[in-house]
Amino acid sequence: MAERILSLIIVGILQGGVYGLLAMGLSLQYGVCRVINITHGEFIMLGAVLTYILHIGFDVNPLLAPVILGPLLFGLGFLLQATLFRTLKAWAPSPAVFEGNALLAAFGVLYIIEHFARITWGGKLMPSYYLADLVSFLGIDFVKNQFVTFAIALALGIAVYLFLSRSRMGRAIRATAEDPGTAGLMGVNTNMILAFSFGLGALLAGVGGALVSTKIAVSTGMGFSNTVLALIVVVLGGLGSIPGSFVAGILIGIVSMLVAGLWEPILTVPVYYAMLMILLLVRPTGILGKK
Amino acid sequence: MSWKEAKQSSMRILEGQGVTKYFGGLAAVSHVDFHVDKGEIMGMIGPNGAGKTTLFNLISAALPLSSGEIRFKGQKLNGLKPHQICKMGVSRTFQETKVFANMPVLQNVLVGAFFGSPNRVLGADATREATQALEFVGLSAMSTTPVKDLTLANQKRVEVARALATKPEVLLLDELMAGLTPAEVSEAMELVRKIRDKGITVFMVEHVMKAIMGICGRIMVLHHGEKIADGTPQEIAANKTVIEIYLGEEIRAGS
Amino acid sequence: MDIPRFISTHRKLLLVGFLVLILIFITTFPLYARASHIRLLTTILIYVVLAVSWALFSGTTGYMSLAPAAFFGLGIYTMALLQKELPFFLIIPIGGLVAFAFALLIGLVTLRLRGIYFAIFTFGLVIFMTEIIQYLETRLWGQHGQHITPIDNEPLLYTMLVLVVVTVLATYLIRRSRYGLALLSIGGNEEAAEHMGINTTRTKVFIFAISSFFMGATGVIAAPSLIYVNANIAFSTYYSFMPIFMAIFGGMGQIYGPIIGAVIFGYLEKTLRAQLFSYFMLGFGIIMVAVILFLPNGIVGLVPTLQDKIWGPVPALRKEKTWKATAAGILNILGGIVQVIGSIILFMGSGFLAQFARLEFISGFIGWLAGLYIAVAIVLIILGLTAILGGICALRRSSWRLGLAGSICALFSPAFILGIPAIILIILGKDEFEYVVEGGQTEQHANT
Repeated sequence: MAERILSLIIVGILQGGVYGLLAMGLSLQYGVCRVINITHGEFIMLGAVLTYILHIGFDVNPLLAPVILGPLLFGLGFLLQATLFRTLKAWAPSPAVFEGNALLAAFGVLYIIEHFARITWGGKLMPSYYLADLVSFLGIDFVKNQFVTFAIALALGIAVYLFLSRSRMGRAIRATAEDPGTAGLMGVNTNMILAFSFGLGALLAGVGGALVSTKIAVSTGMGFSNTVLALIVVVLGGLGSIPGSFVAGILIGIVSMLVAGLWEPILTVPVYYAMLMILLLVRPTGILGKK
Repeated sequence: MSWKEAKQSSMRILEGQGVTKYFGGLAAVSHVDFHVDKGEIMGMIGPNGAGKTTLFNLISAALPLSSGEIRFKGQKLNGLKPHQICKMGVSRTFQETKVFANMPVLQNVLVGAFFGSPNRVLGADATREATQALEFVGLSAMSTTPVKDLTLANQKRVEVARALATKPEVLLLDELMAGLTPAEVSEAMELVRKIRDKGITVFMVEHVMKAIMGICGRIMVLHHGEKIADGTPQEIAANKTVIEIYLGEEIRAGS
Repeated sequence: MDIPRFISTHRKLLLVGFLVLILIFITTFPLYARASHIRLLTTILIYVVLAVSWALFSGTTGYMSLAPAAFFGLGIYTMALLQKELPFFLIIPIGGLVAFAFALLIGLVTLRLRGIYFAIFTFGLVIFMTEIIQYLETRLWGQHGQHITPIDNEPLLYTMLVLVVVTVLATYLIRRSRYGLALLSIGGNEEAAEHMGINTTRTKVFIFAISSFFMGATGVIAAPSLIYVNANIAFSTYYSFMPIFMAIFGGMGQIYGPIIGAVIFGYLEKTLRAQLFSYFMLGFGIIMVAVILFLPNGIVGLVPTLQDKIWGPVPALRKEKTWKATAAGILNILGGIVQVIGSIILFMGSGFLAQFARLEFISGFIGWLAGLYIAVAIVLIILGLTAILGGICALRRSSWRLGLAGSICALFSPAFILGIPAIILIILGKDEFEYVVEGGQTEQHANT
C-alpha cells in the first residue's frame, strides 16, 4: 500500500511538472498583459495536435517537434496580443472594462481556434506515444516518458525563471508587469514586451502540449479542459508568480494522482476545484501570489 | 473623565489613535493620532507619498488597519465595511475621480441618495435629495449629461454632490482642487465653505496651499507616514520642520 | 418626414402594442406552423431567457460569468432525475432553485474577490459539473446518461413563453429598481459604489443567483426535447458561449438587446446545424471578436449613435437643396430595398434547401449551398440597411459620409446600376452637406 502511494506521489510530481509548465505561460500572460487567456488550452491543443502530425505523419521525434512548433505558436501568440488585445486595451475606457472585454474576446478566439482545428483535422483521437516503455525506479515501474517530460518541463521552467530574473529583457518584462506606465517612460517598448510575453506564454503552452502528446492520446477538443487545469494551477500558485505556478502544478499533480489512484479518476477536477475554493476563502492571493 | 475631557471628546466627531498601516514591511501610515472637531474644516498636507490618501482609505475602510483605532462619534470603525461607514455618516470623494462615467449626472448623485442613508429611502425622496445636492454644487443644468462628457472640474462636483446626497456628517475630500485652474480653485473653496456652513464637518487633503491656508481652521502635516505637526494655518506656516520638508522638497526637485 | 418624432412621443403605446402582437403571434403559432418550426421557436425562446438572464448580471456589473451552461445543465438534470417523481410544472421552479443554490455558493466565495477569480471559477464550473455528474452516474446511479420522457411541442412552447415573460418582466423590474441602479454603479466603479452605501457583495451574489435561477428553470423545460442526455450533452460549453454571444451581439445595455441577438442567432443556428456546425461556430467566434472590438455596446448600442447622426438636428442650410443629393438619396434607398428583398429571398431559399439537406446523397453540396446563401444574405442585409440609412442621410443632408457609404453599398446589389449614379451625385452634391462640421460638433453641453 505504501508502495502504491509512493508511486502515485512520484508520478504526481512528474506529471505536475508538466502541469506547472502548462500554467507558467498563462501566468506570464496574465502578469504582464493582464489578459486571462482562456484560449491557452487551445495553444496546448495546437502544440499537441501538430506534434502528432509531425510525429506520425513525418516521423519527427516528438521531443524535437517543439523546435518547429515553438516559433510558430510564439508567432501566433505574439500576433494575438499585438493586434487584438492591444487594440482592446487602447479602446477600453478602464482596466476593468478591458479585462472583461479581453475575456470575452478570448472566448471568441477559443471557438475560432477550436473549430478551425476541427474543420482541418477532425475530432478523432490522435495517439502519438513516445518513449512509452517502462523503466524501474526505486523498485517501482514507471513509464519512461514521465521522467523525460518532467525533466524537460523543469529545465524549461528554470530557463524561463532565469531569463526573467537575470536577463535585461527579463527585467524589462518584470518592470512592465509591475508598472507599464513607468516602464514606458524609462524607455521600454511596452508594446513589444507585451507581445513578446504573450508569445512566450503561447510557446510554453505549445511545448507543454507536445510533451502531453507523448503520454496520452490527444484531440482537437482537448483545449478546454486543459485551460481549466492551467487556470486552477495558476490561481492556486498565485496569479503572476512563475515559481508559484510550478509549485502549484506539482501539488495539483500529486493530488490528481492520489485522487485518481485511491478514490476516483473522474473526481480529480472537482477536487481541485474544491481545493481552490477553500484556498480562495482563506488566502485570496494564492500560495505564492501577490495582490 | 473630567468635564473638560468629556466636552472635548463630544466635540471630536472623528478621531484616530495609533493608526498604523503596513504594506509588506513598509509603514505607509505610522502611529498617527488625529482628531477632527465637529463643524470645522480640517486640512491634511504633506509631500507626495506621505500617507494622506492611505489615511483616508483607512478611515473609509477601503483598507484595513494594521493597528490602532479610528472612532466616529465615539464609535469604533475598526472592522466595518465602507458601505456601513457611509451609512453611519462618513462620506468621501476620491483623488482619481471615481464617478460612474456612463451614467447621467443625476443618476450618479441618486446612488448616493438611495444608498447613503441607513434607512430605506423612497424613490421620490431620493430624487429630491439628488436634485437638491446638484443645485447645491451648481450642476442642475447638466443633470441629464453623461458624466464622461463633463470637464474634470464638473466631474469633481458630481463626486461632491454624490457624497453630499448620502447626508454625511463628515465629508472627506481627497485632493478636490487637483488639476483645477485658479478660478476653479476659488469656486471650489467657496463650495467647501458652503458645505461647512450646512453643518457638515470637512476633512480635506490638499496640495494647493492657497486653498488649505485659506479655508482650514486647523491643519495636520504628514511626512513618511508620521504626523509631524498639527495646528492652525499660522502655526503650520511658521513651523520649522514643515518649512524644511517643503523647502527641502523644492531644493531637491530643483537640483 | 417626422417619423422619429412620432415614434418617440407615442413610444410607450407603440411598445406595448408591439409586445402584444408578438405574444399573439407566438401563442397562435402552433395553428399555422409545422412541428419543426414550433421546436425552433421554443429553442429561440430558450436562448432568449439564457441571454437575458446572463445580461442581467454580467451586462450590468461587468463581472463576466462563463457559467450559464452549468446552471442550464443543472436544470436539465433536475428534470431527468425528478421527472417520474413530480409533475413537470413543479420541477421547473425546483430546477431554478437548485441552480440558485449553486450560484449562491459560488458567488459567496468568488464575488468577494476581484472579477478575474469569478470569471475563472465560472469558466471551470462547467467542467466541474460534467465530472461530478459523470461520477454520480457511474458510481452511484449505475447508468450512463438519462432518458427523458418527451413532452408535446405545444405545451413546451407555452411553458417556455410563460418563462420568457416572467424572466423579461423580472429583469425589467430589477433594472428599473434601486437594485438596477446598484448593479450599474458596481459596473461603473465598484469601489465608489461601495463607498456610497451599497453592500456590493450582497447585491452581486443575490442578482447572480437570481439570474441563475432562470437559467436552471430553462434547463428543466429544455430537457424533454433532448430526450437523451448525459453529462457532456447537458453541460456543453456551447450553452455558455451562445447566450453570451447573443447578448453581446444584441447589446447588453438594454433588455431587448439580448432578445434581438437570441432571435437572430437562434434562428441561424437551428437552420443549419449538423453539417456545417464547425463552420458556423468558427464564424460566430469571428463575429464575437469583431463585435467586442467594434461594437462593444452591441447592435442596440448603435441605435442612439445612428439616431443622432441620421435623424439628429440638422443646422440651418447655407446652400439650397438641389436635386443632386436628393436623387442620390432616393437611389440609395431603392438600391437598399432591393438588397434587403434579395437577402430575404436568399434566407428563404436557404431554409428551403436545408430541407433537402437531409437527403443523404446530395446533402454535402446542398448544405454548402445553403450556407453560402445565408452568408450572402447576411452581407446583403447589412449593405442594404446601410444603403437605406445613407439615403435618408442624403435626403436630410445630415451626414455626407454616411450618404457616400450608402451609395457605395448600393453598388453591391443586384441593382448596382442605381449605385453608380448615386455615388456620382453624392460626390457632386457634397457642398450641400458642408455646413455640418464633421465630428467637430462641439460639446452639447457648455462648460461652466
